[in-house]
Amino acid sequence: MTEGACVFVVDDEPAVRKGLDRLLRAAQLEVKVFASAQEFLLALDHEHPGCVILDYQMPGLNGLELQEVLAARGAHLQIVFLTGHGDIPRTVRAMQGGAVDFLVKPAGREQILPAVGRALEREALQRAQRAQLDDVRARLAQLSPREREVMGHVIAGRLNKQIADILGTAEKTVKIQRAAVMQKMGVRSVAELVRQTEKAGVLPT
Amino acid sequence: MVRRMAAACFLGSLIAACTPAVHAQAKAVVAIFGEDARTAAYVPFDRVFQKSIVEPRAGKLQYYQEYLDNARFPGPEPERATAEYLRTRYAGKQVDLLLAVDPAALQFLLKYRATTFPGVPVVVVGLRTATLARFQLPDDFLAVGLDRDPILTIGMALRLRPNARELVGMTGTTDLDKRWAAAIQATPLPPNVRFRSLTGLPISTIERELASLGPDAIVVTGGSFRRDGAGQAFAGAPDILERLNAVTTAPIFTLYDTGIGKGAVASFSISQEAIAGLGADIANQLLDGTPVAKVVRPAPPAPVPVADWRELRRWGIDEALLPRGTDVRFREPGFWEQYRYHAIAVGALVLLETALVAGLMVQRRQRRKVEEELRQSEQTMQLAANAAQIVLWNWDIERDVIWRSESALEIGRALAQPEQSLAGLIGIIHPEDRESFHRAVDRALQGDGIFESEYRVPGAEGAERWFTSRGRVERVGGVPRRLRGVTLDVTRRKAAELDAQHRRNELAHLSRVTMLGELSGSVAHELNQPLMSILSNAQAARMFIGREPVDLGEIGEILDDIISDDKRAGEIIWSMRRMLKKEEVTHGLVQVNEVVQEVLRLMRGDLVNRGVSVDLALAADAPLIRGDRMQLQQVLLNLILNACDAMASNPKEERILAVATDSGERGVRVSVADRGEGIPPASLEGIFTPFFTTKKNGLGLGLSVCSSIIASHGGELRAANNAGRGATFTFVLKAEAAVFA
Repeated sequence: MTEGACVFVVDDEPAVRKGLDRLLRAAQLEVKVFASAQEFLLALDHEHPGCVILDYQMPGLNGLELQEVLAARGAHLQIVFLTGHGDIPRTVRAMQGGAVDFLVKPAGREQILPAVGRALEREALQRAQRAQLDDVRARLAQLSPREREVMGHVIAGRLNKQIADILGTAEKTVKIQRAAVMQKMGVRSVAELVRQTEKAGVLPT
Repeated sequence: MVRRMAAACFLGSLIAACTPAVHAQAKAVVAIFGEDARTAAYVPFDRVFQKSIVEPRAGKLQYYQEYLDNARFPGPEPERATAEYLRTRYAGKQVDLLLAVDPAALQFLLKYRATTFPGVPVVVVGLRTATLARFQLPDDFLAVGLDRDPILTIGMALRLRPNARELVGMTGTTDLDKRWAAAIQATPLPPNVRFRSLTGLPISTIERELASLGPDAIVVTGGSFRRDGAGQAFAGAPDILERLNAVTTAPIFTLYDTGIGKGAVASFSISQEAIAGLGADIANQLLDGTPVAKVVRPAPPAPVPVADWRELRRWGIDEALLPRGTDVRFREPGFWEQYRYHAIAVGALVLLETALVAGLMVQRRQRRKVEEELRQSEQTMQLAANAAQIVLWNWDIERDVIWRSESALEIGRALAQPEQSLAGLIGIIHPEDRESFHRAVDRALQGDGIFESEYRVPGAEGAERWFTSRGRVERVGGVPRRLRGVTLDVTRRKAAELDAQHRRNELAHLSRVTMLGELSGSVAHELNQPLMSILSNAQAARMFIGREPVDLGEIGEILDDIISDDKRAGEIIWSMRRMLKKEEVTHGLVQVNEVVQEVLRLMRGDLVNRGVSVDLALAADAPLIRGDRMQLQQVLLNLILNACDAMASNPKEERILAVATDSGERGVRVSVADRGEGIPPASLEGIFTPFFTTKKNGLGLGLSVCSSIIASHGGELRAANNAGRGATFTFVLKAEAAVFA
C-alpha cells in the first residue's frame, strides 16, 4: 500500500459512514467520509493516493454515475462498491466501469478490508506504472525528429548500416544519433529501449 | 264488571271490618287522597287497592283511607290541622305503608310524613314523570312515573273527526288542570286545525261556549276539574263531564279513561285502574317484606284507546275509524240486565234461572272479553317490544336499579334476575366491551344526556349477541335521576357489518401483501443499513480493544451507535411485520406525521432506486387522530407507490413526490402529489371502484381498498389532477376531540 493513501467513503447513510470510518481507522487507514457524490467531487484531490468506497444507491448522483464522472475527469481512484442487493447486471456494469469490488451490505471487516487492500495495491501499482510512463514520455519528448526516426528503425531491429542506407546518411552519423537516443531514453540495451517504447505505444518503423 | 268489582270491594271491606282491630301480625296501610271522598277519579284506585292489596291478605291487613279535601280547604292552615289530626289518630297504630294517590297527597306527605307517619314508606301512584321531576323524593318514597301525553287522545279525536277544524281545550283551574291545559295547548296540530282555550273560565261561560260550538269542533278535557274559573268547587272531572255533555254541540274527548261512561266520546290514556295496579304492585312487595332498596319498579302501563259506544252513535262516528284494539264500552246498554230485573220482579223461577244462566254466560263472556282486552292492551307495549326485538329499560340512578321489560332477547335471558344494578348489567357484557359501555354511561351522565352503546353479550354455547342501547338521562334539578331507553338486538346487522368489515380487512391485507412484495427489496435494503453499521462498529470496537491504550470514550460511542442501529433494524422489521400480519383493526390515537415518516422510511430504498425525490411538508401542529396506524400506512404506501409508478417515465429531475400534512379546523389533511401524466378525466370517477386499473399487472384493488379504509376512518379519499402536471390524492382525518398532540 502507498504511504499516506486515503480511503474515501461516500454513503448517504450516516450510520454506515460512521461505522466504516471507525472500522477503517481501526485498520490504521486514513479515512475521509462524504454524504453524497457531489460533496465528494467538490473535495476531490486528483493527486491524493487512495480508493473510494461508494454506495451504489444514493439519492442524487448514484454510485454508477459517480464512477462515470470520475473516469471522465481522469481520476485514477479505485472504486469499491457497496450495494443493498448485488444483482448480476449491476455488478457487471460496475466491474466494466473499472470497479475493484462489489460488496453487498451488510459487509464486514472480512470483506471490506481485503477489498480496500486490493484497491489500494492496485492504485499503488497503477500509480507506479503511470509514473514510469510519464518518464518514458518525457524522455521521448527530448528526442529530435531525426533521433526519433532513427529510434523507430532501432526498435525494429535494424543495424546502423541498414538505417544509414534507408535514411541516405553516413553510417557514422547514425551511430552518433543512436547513442544520443540511448542516452536520452536512459537505456543501455536495445531490449530495454524496446520495452520502454512499447509502454508508451511507440511502434517500430 | 263494575258491579262485580263493587261487590268484591264491599265484601273486602266487610272482611276487613270484621277482622279484630288488634292482631299480632296485622299490617296497616293508609291511602292518602288529596281531595274529598266523593271524587270520582278515586273510585278505580280504591277498587284496585281493595282487590289487589286488601283481599289477598284477608284478615291480616287494615286498610284506611284519608281524604285531605284539598280543593275545598286550600292553604297551609287546614293542611297543618289535617296533619295534626292524622298524627293523633294514628298515634297508637303501627302503620306499615302509605299510598299517595295524587300530587296533593304527595305534597302533603313530603311535608308532614315526618310528624304524622315517621319512617313509613310511601308509594306514590298516578303521577306523571314530569310531575315527579318537580319533587325531590326521599329514598322511601317509591314512585313510577307515567308518561301521559295528551297527544294520543288528541290524535284519536282528530282521527274520529276527520273534518275537525277547531280543537277546544277545556279544563278547570287546579294546578293539575293548568298543567294539562298547557300540555293540550302544546300539542302540535295539523295546520288546518286551530286551537281555542276554554280553560280557567266559570262553568256557566264554559257551558255557553260549548253550546255554541260548530260542527267542526272537538273538545279535549283533562285534569281533575275540581274548581272552575269562578272558584266554585266540584266533585271532579267525571261529574262535570256529565253536566257539560248535556249542553255541548261538539264531542268531548278526555285524557282520563274514567270520563268514559260520563259523556266523553273516547280517550287514549293509561287506564286509572292500571295506574292503581302499579301502585298496588309496589305496595305488595313492601308488605311482603321486600326492603325499600330492593323493590322492583313495574313497567309503566301502556295507554289504551277506549270509547263509549253510545257517544260514538250520538256523534255519528264510524266505529271503523277507531284505533285498532279500542275498548268500546256500553255497547248494548243493559239488555240482559233489564231482563234480569224484570225476571226478579215477576219472581218466575224458570225465567230467573234462564236469566241467570244467560246472564252468567254473557257476563262471563263479557268479562273474559274485557279482561282479555285489558290484558292485551297492557301487553301492547310488551308485545310491540318483543315483536320489534326491543327491550325497554329504565335505570334508577340513585338506587342503582335497572328495570326492564320482559323479553325473549338474549339480554333478557341473561338478565333473568328482573332487577339489576348497573354493575350487574355490566357483568353480563362481554369483557372487551365493558369499558366502552362505562364510557357511554359516563358521557350520558356528564354530557348531553344521550346514551348510546353497542356491546356484546355472551350467550349460551359460546354464541355471542350484539346489542345496541340508546337512552336519555332524565334530570331533576340538574341531577341525573334516571336513564331510560331501549335495547335492540343487532346481532344480525352486526354480523353483516362484521362480515363486510372482515372482507374489507381481508382485501386490505391482500392488497398490502401484494404491495409489500413489490417493496421487499427496498425493505431488505433498508434493513441492511443498520446491520452493516452494527457489524462495522462492532468489528472496529473489537480492533480498538486490542490496542493500547484503549479509548473507552470511543468504545462507549460505538456501543451507543450499535444500540440505536439495532433498534432501528427492529423497527423496520416490526413495521414490515405489522403490515404483513392479518391483524385485527384497532383504532387508537395516531399522529399522522409519524405514519407518513414511517412509510417513507420503509420506502426509502425503493424511492432511491426509482430515482424519486421526496418533497415532504409536515404540519407542525398536526393533532392526533383516532384510527388504525397500519391501515393508514397502507393507504400512504399505496398512494406513494402509485405516484412513483406515474412518474416512472419522467426524466429524473421530474420525478418529485410531494407528501404534505396540513392541520385545519376539520382535522389533518394528508396529500400525496405526483408529476406524472395525471388521471384521464374519463377515469376520475371510476378510479376508486374495485378492479379499476391502468397498470398492466395491477389487481385494481389498491385504490378501492384505500378508499374504504379512509371511509372507515370517517373521511373521504379524493383524487384530482393538478393545475400543472400529475395528480394529487387527498384525504382528511378528523382530529380526536379534546386530545392535544
